This record gives sequence, structure tokens and C-alpha cells, in this order.
Amino acid sequence: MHKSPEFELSLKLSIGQFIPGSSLVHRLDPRVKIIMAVLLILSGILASRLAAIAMLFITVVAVLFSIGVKPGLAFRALKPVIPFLIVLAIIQMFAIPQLREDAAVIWQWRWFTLTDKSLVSGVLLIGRFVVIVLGLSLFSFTTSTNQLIHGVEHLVRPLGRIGLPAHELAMVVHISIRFLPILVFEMERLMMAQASRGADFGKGRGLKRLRRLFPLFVPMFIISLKHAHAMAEAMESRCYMGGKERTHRVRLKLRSADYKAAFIFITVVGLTLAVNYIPVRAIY
Amino acid sequence: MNEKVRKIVVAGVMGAISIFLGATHLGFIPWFAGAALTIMHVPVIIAAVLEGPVVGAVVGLIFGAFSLIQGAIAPTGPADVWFVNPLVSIVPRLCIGPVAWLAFRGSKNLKEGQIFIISGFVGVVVNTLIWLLSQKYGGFDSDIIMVFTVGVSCVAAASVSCLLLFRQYKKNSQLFPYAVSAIAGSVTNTALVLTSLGIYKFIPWQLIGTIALLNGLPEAVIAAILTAVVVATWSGIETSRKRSSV
Repeated sequence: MHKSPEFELSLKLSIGQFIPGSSLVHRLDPRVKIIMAVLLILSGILASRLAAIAMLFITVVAVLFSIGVKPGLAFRALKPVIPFLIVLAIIQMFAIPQLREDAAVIWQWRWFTLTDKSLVSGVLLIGRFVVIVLGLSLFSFTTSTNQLIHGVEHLVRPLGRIGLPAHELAMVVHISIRFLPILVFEMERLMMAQASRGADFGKGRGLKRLRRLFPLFVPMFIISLKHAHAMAEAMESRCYMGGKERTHRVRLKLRSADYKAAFIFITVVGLTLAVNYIPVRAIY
Repeated sequence: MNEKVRKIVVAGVMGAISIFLGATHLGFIPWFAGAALTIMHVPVIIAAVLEGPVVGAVVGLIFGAFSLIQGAIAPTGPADVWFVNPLVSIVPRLCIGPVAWLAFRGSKNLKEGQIFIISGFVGVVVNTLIWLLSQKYGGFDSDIIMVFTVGVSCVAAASVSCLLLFRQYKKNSQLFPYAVSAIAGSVTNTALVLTSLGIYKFIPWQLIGTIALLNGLPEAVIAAILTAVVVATWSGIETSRKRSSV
């Protein structure tokens, strides 16, 4: 059945493709990968010196080239954002005065002042963003949804021992991810059904558009709630009682490759933070 | 039915809806001049109203985490860059659910007039807090007048939305608490996100007040209408419009 493009919702929902492969990173334990992704983002946020960001950037790009995926794919994700980034960086450089006494003014034209510190901060903004985006793309290329869910569930388990509802939280995320394709399917069906009854979703602005979208949004919630109740009943009738004393079919084991990768990565992050925080004036 | 299992599944499903609305951009309703009103916080509010504050907080967490990831992996505009910071994307969204639930429980027993007064009071408190924060972190002229608009817009959003919806749902005062909770949740989202953007100096405080009013008010109204309609349909409450518009 041929669907016209506005009904093809499933195409829009590809956030971070998983690309199957057999590289070293692909085979790492998902827990290690998740922790590495989190550390990468944290160090990206904390890095306040160009050298630190440069180190992270080189690391990420190096790993990107090693996983057997066309690196162009990751950079393609950056393409639409580059113009905005540049505008933001320019705004950062000019509009937010870097009121530090040790900032040397590089360029001045009427009321626009550009100090070297603000130039650095503008470049840092771009660099930080690029590092985080590439890192997350790297993560999503090498980790399938299944792996991700198992990894999160295992990581969060120790929290369950201290009383936090860790398993339940992991289950919620699991259900969310699994429910998305069902939701997409239902929505496509719903859009086509309402369109065949003469609803027009495209036109109008503001309140008018919202009115036209009601036949779409209200059934969306109702259908989802019905699915939710049916699923809850199904789970309960299979004796699901939450996380208490629940055993698992899939068990993740750390292997030597995981330890080596973790060690290398932590070293890199450590060096980056050292470069970031050593009080040496020469490092920008 | 076991409550716990139902809460887990509803939280998951509402989280999925929030992600879906964000990822496919169906959740962005164009207003004018390129700005859009978002409804991605509505699943959070509905989850909080139907299943409680914890479920609301969880769905808020999913919404926030997804906006962070979307900002990082598939950004769609300059604003997405700011959402990579969890203080902007996650922390405010955690509060939407509990606040909406509180408003729901609180307004169940109150009359409409009392709600106006309380929302005015809350608006003043919020305004003071935001002004204090802006004094501490103000990079620009955190003129009290400018920051006042943030608080005023919260009050305005709450009161005007209450008024509009009171007229709409005069016959169905059963729906009123749902509308109020949605307004509270939406205003929380607007206020907290904009405050954190202001603290990080991404947007000047003068602009924040304007955005809060222009964007926050319609968003609150839309959220209230959507929540009330969905919950009414789900709970089988009769509304005056029995005929479908399609």
C-alpha cells in the first residue's frame, strides 16, 4: 500500500542509527559503553580550555574511524546545526562581555569588542558541542537498543539494593523504547483514518491548528492508555510483581577487552581533566 | 489490578508519547514568526494526574532526558544546543509532574475564586524567587521591572487560563481540577526552563519575561485544554460537545 509522505512517521523516528558491526567497540560490554558516554559528556561540559577539548575531539574522531562505520555519517548529523552553532558562537563572542582584567582586546569596531578570552569561549562552545554530538553518535552506532536496555538495567541494579526503585525505572525506560514502534504504527493508522474522514492536519496556526489536531492527539492518548492497561494486565497475569527477587535471563560479563578499553578511556579523560585544571598560564 | 504494574506501564507509555511528539515534531504547533508551542509536557501532566506524582516525575525525567539527547544527536535549531545541559533540560521537567499533581489535589476542593487568589499568591512567590536568582546570577541588567515580567507572566498565565477555561467548562466543574493542574504543570515547565536559561546567561533576562508571556501563556492554555479533553474522554466524563468535529 502506497502511503503519501506525510504519513510516513517511522522514517522520522531514527535517532542515532545502530549500525551492526564487529569492531572492538561494538563488542564491548554495554555498561562500559554507557559509562564512557556519560564520562565523555561530563568532561566535555567541564572542559574550559581549548587543549582539553582538542584532546577529546581527537580521541572521539580516532575511535570513530576505528569502528568500521563511514565517518561521514556522524559528521552528517552535524551539518544542519553548523550555521546555528556559528551564529551562537558569534553572539557568545561579542554580546557577552568577558569582563576579565587579563583579557587582551584583539579587535575593536565601534561598540563591538573582541577579546581573546571571548574568542576562545566561542570556539569552546562549538568544540564542546561537536565532541558531545560525535561521542553520542559513536555510542549509538555501536550499541543496539537491546544492548542499551540490558546495560542500563544492570547498571541501575545496585541502586535497587539501597532502596531506590531501580528495576522499576529501568522497566519504564524499557517499555518506553519498546512502545515507540507500536505508537508510530498506531499513529500512522490514525492519521490515515482521520484523513479519510476529512480531517486536515496541515493547515492553520495556533489555536486553529490545535483544534484540527485534536482528532489526532486525543485518540493518541486514549489508544496508548488502552495499550498500557492491556499490557499491565498481561504482565500481572504472568506473575510480574516488580523487581523484588527477580532473576535475569541475560547476564552481562565483563571481559578483558572491557577492562582494557575502560583503562585507556579513563586515562584519556584523566589527562584531559589534568590539562584542563593545571594552573599553567600558557595553556589556553 | 495491581497498582504498581499499572503505574510502571503507564509511565512507560506516556514517556514514549513524549518522545514520539518530540522526535516527529508533531509536538511543535506553529504559532507565528517561527516560534512554536510545544505539547511535549502534556503527557507528563496527564501521567501525574492519572497515576500520581512519582509517575509524573518519571515521565518528566524521560521527557527531559530525551530533549537532552535530541539536543545532542539530532538538533533542530539553536535552542537545542542549550538543552544539552541537564540543568536546563532535566531538572525543570522533573518538577512538572509533582507540581501538576499537587495542583490537581489542591484544586479538587477549592472553588474557582479561591484558585485565582492562590495562583496570584504563588505567582508573587515565584516572581520573588526568580528575581533573587537573577540578582545572584544576573549577567545583564537584571532590572527588577524586567524580571518582574517573568513572575507577572506566571500569574497572568495561571489566572487568565483559569478564566478562559472556567467559561469553557462552566457546566463541567469536574474538569476544572484537571485544567488547573495542567496550567500549573505548564507554567512550571516554562518558568523553570527559562530561569535556568537565564542563570546560564543564554538569554538576557529582559527577553525571558517576554518569552514567558508570549509563549508560556498559550502553552498553558493548550495544555489545559488537551489535558481536560483527554482525561474527560478516558474517565468517561460527559462534556457539552457531544458531536465530533471530524
